[in-house]
This record gives sequence, structure tokens and C-alpha cells, in this order.
Amino acid sequence: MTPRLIWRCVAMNVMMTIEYRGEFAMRMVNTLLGPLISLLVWLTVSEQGVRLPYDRDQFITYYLLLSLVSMLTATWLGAYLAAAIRQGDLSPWLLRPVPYIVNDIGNNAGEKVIKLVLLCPMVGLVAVFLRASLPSDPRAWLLFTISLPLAAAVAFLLDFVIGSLAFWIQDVWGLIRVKALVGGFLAGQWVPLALFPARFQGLLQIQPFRYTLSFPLEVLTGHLTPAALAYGFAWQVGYCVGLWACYRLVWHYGLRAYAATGA
Amino acid sequence: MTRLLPYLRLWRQFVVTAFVREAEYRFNLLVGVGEGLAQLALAVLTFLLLYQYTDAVAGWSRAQVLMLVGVYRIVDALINLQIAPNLTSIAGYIQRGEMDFLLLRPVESQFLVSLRKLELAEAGNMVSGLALLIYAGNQAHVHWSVANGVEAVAFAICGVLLLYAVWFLTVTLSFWLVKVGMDELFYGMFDTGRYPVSFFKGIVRTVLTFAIPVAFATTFPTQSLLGVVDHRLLLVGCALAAVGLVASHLFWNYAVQHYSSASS
Repeated sequence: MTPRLIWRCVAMNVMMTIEYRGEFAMRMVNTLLGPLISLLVWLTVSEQGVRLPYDRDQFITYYLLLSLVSMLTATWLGAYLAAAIRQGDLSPWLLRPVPYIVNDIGNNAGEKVIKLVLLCPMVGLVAVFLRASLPSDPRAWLLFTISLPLAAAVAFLLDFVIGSLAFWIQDVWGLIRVKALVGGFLAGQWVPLALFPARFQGLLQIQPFRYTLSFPLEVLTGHLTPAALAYGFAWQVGYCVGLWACYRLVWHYGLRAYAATGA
Repeated sequence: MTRLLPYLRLWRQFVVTAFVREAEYRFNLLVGVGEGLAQLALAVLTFLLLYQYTDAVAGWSRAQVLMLVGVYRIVDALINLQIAPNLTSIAGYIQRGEMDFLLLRPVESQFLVSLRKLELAEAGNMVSGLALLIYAGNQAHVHWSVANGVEAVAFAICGVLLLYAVWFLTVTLSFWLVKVGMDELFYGMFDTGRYPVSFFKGIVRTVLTFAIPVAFATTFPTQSLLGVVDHRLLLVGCALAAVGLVASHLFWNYAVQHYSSASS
């Protein structure tokens, strides 16, 4: 899996995405809209004088960057992978000198390049409109830029491994839909995990979905102690490595179980 | 009336066909119902998280907001049952050149593209939404009355018709903007319907009441049941719905006339 192959796949997908820029622009409006609605609701609660774990600036930081982070860590290929395995479209890929996962990495990263170009100006506009004051601590931003690609990797590998279960299970897509729904909730897509009741915090901190979305945002909103930061990074790296091992294992045995139509 | 009758008969046939199709994929149905219940549970959980910090948001108690979540679920199910499966297909008809065959048929093309497909599994979501509405209503000590119920249904119908009109107007743009998906945007807008409009302020509230009229679909029906709605809004809703429907029809006809098909 040379970097050059990955680069070619990314570049190819960038070109393909540009073709559908209008549709992608609409999707980016939607990506921004969801967090923005949640933000407005929490600001209403906050302005009523209710004491909340986050103040106004933290809410704005969280939800504004949530749109960016959720876009950058999004996955959608598990379902396609499951279909490719079930319908035998995987077969041609097994003859090529490049692992299937490289194509998916290329598609995932390639689309995100275009999405980022479309989404950034929108987020910037809203930030100006809300007079957002984003965190100024460069260390927080540095840690954020480290945990963000890790979050994308955890999310991507989790999706890829679940999709790969199609080697053995017929109907993986039910599992994928439940994962999208419950995973989004547990990742802090609607309500920041810091706002969940205290008695659930221990559990929330060790489940994988926190490390697909919430953790980079928690790093940035800056309420984590150095010990909690270290703990979080350890879990995030652990999930990354563990899921990579799962991927290798599942494909090692999965390809032996693979009996495609027409193969 | 005699002109209407064939359309009713045709619609009945759409329902029958949908039943037959649904019976074919029973496992799908089961997954769909399970997913719907999970969605509702998560929506309720989101509000429980919000209300652990306060007893009222913008004058809405927890039980009252959960009533609104129930109403949202019912309206959402209605849209997904009859409207969404059709409106999300229209851009595809145009891209693949299938629109030609729909235009050839001897009925109003807007009727055909708007009502042909039904997703009957959504009926399960209507039931769970209704159950939540009744449960939360009792918690909120609602005095159930026929008059309030009728008014709530009238508001909801206005709301659904308005949402249909707005969505259909944007979908009609597909004749020109073939590659722009408007559906995502509509879903994003409709998501705001799970909150009472008074949770928002200023321009956002105005937009959600009149431009993207989710307030008529969820907030006002809930307020009717609570007996606190401004009754004049129902007239506004009816007028807006009528204008919306006529506009959608005129724009559709205009678009069809300017349609140079993909295949012929």
C-alpha cells in the first residue's frame, strides 16, 4: 500500500466529487444546519440563566466545529462494502495490485477535500454572525489537530470492519443503520457528552464513539485536565490500533469465506 | 366530483400495490419499525438531557415538549409515508429520462409524481408517535376535547400541505438543476420541527413560521391540544396552504412545458 497509490485514489475521487459540487454544497448546508439548530436551542436555555456545564462561548465552539469535525470524520462506505461483498463486485478488486481499503480511503478523503472547501466559508460566515470567540490557546489547537485525524481513522475503521462482516452475515445494513443512529448519539452529535449525567461519564468515556467525534471537540473546548487528556489519547490510539488489527483479522479470514457469485 | 373519482380510484390502487410490495419484504418492515422506535427513544432522551437542567424552556415544560415530539413523529411519519418516497424520486426520473413516460399518462402529472409510491412501514411510527403524544399529554394534564383535537388535526394538515408545497417547489427546480439534491436540505429544515418555534428568536422564528412552515406542522397542533393557540393562525395556515398548492401547480406546469426530455 504505497502512499503513491493512496494519493492517486484521492486525486481521482476529488475530480469525481467536483462533478457533483452543487449537490455537495447542499449537503454541506445541511451538515451545518443540524448543529446550528442544537446550538440555538442550548443558547436559549443558557440565556434563561440556567446553570450549564458549558458557557456561551463553549457552546458556540462545540457546535460550530461539530459541523466541521462531523464532516471530516464521517463514513459512508461500510454499506457499499457490504453490498460489494454480497453481490460479488469485490471480485475484480482482488485481482488488482492494490488492497480494496485503499480505494475506500481515497473516496473518503477525496470527497472530504471538496466538502472542506465548500463548508469552511459557511462556518466562517456563521462564526462572524454569532460573534464567536474561538479558543485562543495554541496548545488546544495543536492537540485538536492531532486527535482529529485519529478520530477520522477510528470512525473509518469501525465502519469498514462492520461492513466487512458481510463476509459472514447477509444483512449487515441493519447493523450499519443502528450504528449510525446510536453511534451518533454516543458520539455527541446532538448533545455534548459533557452534558450527560455524571453517573454515566465513566461509561461514556470508554465507548468507541466518543473517539470518533466528541474527543477532538472536548480537547478544544478545554475543560479536560492533563490527566483526562492523556487518558483520552490513550483510548483513542488504542481504538485505532485495535480496529486496524480487527480489519486485518477480518479480511484474512473473510477472504477465505468469500464465495462471490461469478467469481 | 366526477373528475375527482378516477383519481381516488387510482390512489387506492397505489395503496394496494404498496401493500403487496411490503408483504414481499417482511424483514425490511421489521428493521424499519425497530429503527423508528430507536429514533423516537433518542429524540426523547435528547430532551430528557436538556430538561435535567431546568423545568421549563421558553415556557414549555418537559411533558409539553414531549407532546410536541409525538406530534413531530406523527407528521414526520405521514410525510415519509406518502410524500417523501415520491419527491425524492423526481430528480432521478429526470436524470434517467423516465419523466417522459410519466408525462405520457392520461392523468395530471403532478398527481402521479406526488402520490404514486407509499412507504407503509411508516404507519408504525405514527402509532408510536401517537402513543407518546397521549402519554405526555396526560403527564401535562391536558384536558382532551374534540374541538381541540379537530383544530390540531386541521393545523397538522395545513402544515403537511405547506411542507409539501415548499418541497415540491424546490424539487421542480430539478428540471434545470439536474445535479443539485434539494432533498437533504428539506430534511435539514424539517428537523427544526422537533422543537417549539418559541425556542428560537427573531428572524429564525419568523422563517420557521412562514417561509419554511414547520411551525404549522408541529408547534401549532401541540398548542391546540394544550388550548393555548391563537385560533386566527388556522386561517393564516389555510390561506398559506392554498397559495402554496396553487403556486406549486403553476410552477410544475411551467417546468413541464420547458422540459426538453433526455431521451426523445
